[in-house]
Amino acid sequence: MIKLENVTKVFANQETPAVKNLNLHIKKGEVCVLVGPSGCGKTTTMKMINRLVEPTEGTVYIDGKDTSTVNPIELRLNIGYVIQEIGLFPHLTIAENVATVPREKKWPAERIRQRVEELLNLVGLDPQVYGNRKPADLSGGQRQRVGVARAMAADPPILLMDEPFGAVDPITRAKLQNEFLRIQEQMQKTIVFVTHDIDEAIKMGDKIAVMRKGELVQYSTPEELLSAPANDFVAKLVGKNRSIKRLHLIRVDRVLGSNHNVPVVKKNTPVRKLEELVDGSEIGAVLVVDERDRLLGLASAVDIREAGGGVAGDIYQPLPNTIGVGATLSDALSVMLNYGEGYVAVVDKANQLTGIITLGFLLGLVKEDAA
Amino acid sequence: MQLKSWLARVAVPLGLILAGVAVAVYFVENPGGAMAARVLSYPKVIRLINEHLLMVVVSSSLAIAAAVPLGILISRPALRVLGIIIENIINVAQTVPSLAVLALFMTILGLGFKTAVFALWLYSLLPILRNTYAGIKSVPPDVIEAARGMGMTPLRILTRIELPLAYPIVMAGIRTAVVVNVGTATLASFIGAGGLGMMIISGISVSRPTLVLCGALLSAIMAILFDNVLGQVENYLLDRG
Amino acid sequence: MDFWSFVNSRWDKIFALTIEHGVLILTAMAAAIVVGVVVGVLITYYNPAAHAVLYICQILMTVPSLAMLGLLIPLLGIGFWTGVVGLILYSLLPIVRNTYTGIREIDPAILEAARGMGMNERTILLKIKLPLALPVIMAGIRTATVMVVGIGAIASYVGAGGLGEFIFRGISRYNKDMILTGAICVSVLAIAADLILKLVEKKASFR
Repeated sequence: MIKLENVTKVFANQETPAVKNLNLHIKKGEVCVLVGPSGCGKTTTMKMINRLVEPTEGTVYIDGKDTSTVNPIELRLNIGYVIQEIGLFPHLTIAENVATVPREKKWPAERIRQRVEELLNLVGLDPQVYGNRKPADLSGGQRQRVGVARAMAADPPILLMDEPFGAVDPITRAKLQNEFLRIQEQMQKTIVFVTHDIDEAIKMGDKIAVMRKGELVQYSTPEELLSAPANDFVAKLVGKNRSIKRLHLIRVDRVLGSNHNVPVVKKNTPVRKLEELVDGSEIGAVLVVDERDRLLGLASAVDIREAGGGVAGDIYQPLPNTIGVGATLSDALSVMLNYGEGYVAVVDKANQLTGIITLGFLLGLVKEDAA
Repeated sequence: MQLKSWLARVAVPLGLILAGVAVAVYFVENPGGAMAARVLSYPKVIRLINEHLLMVVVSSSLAIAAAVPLGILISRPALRVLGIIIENIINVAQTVPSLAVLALFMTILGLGFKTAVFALWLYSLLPILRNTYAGIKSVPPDVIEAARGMGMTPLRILTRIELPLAYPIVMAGIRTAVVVNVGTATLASFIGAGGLGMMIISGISVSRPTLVLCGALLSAIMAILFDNVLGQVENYLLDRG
Repeated sequence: MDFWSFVNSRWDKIFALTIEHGVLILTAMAAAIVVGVVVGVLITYYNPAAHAVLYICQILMTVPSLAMLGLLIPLLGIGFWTGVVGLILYSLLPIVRNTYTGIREIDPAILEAARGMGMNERTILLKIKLPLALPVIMAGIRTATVMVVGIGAIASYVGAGGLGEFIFRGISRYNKDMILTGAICVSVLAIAADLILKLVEKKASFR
């Protein structure tokens, strides 16, 4: 989707380049976080994507197209842009602010009105209440929401966000981050996100690009970053209590997949079949789902043996210890401790089973770091 | 409702005009001596008011027409250095007293109405130019950056973001310039441009306080009238967005 | 080079008139600062009066300076003191307004802290309010001084002396060199006053 090839930027009157020979490939639908200390070139890198800064050398491709051949205005109209200071236009109402890009694109008025309403609802601001207010009447967190809504107004496939939650208090920030992740789950935008906060990077990023003095130090998933820092600089950046931090920062949907061996069966599976499966189960039980993969409960080895016949749907027990896909591993651990079980099922909004986290897996993660 | 707000708008300017007429009529009817009566006749008073108005209106509107575009021009990022230089020149030039400006141009352009209009034009150019420049420069950089990042063209940023935000400051500059201009125009009489200053100068030279008072009141009323009308124009345009 | 020979032949006159102009301005400003700051402080304690006082000062400013000076002649006659009073009236608005806003814009938390520490109003005014408002007051004094240098030139017409004499005599005799001398001297004086007071202002704001 976005590809930076040997990109270098040297600002006028400066000897050292702000960005040095950078290569970066961001896939469609991915959140790529650029992280590093101030002056590391992360913002410059981001601004070269929408040509607010022109590269001295190298090429930026979007969808395979060299951006230097595209009219910058045209380019920017199709890339959402959010900055830390937000830059809401103080003389325009919230609705007018959000309508900026659609208006530049000459959408019909009715379509703009609908879109603005939709977006304000999406970011949790009632259009009836806030639409006609001026930015000065809003709190910092509300202004940030408007900034995000404004950037998404014309539904651009790409969003650039420069410390978008940097200017709000920690509690509001966490709330905005979670909301943003929820929105991103629906929208699946390609996002370049700049921050100096490694915790935020790990929480928000599918991929993290650590930068230092204009150079890319490491480009990997949050998990790799935590488990295998490329050098001392990255190790220091991610900090000492990495193992505990990981639990706090990694969302469960990031680690779902082949990290467990707990069988999942449909409710019409014969019990006889379960007897074979339950033997290989890490938790001595199988999970039962309905025909649409919605979680029904679990059938333990004891249940299965006592039942003798029938199907899985007849014998399962409801399972209270579940968590949502947005939760962190630390949330998963506390649910396990609450219920005194070594596992927790992960379900999405529709209660569809998306995976399972086991205590063994968590211990494995922590041990890996300790080693 | 609409009639009411319309009445409220015209009440003050109308009142000021009536006050001006009343002052003129009172002093013409009660000149306080034959000496003053020579200046205080209806045709003469009307002529002086006309001259004064003409001087102020012509020089001010030409100053607005020149200073606003020039202020926009020097606020462009490409002309940043020029902008700073001009800003500093204006700051010094504005401290030059109005009488000195009029006198200086008289030595170059000679006596008369045109010289006065030129000097008044130049003198009111400064505050308008400075405020236009300062107004645009006062737009927060993050607002411009956001607009640029969203793909607005420089022209759109100017018309939709910079000018609306700078507007109150530009208008303040225009109001100051015009009010000062009404006062400075009284000095233009010294260089033979006529206007209400004539009344004041003759009043001082022949020791007739009624003449001075009449000229003072008429020019003060004119200054307040311009300020009020411009203030209403400002609000009207602000409402229309 | 007529102009230079004119200037060279009149150095003593130029010097004398500059001094006269300076004395006129210093006298007026000294009085205006005392009156302006006192009035400015007083109206911070009584808001309704503040608006009235500031409005009156603003109206005074719209009266053309020439007319104001002319109106003072029947009361004070022709001469130095007419000029001084006229200049005082004009310099009041910037000084009163800036004293008022300078004090009003002090962070209320600072004043609350001062009261909390048991300072009385007199001490707060002298030790907290005035020092904190000083940069703003100084800015008002600078505006007033620059303006008064210019009006001082007009005051020559009502017999207050000063550099305006060159201009008015020059106009009546149509002597360009004389006009030019007066206009340049008065401009230099105004620019110099502006620069000097800017420096003082900077010093004041470092406190």
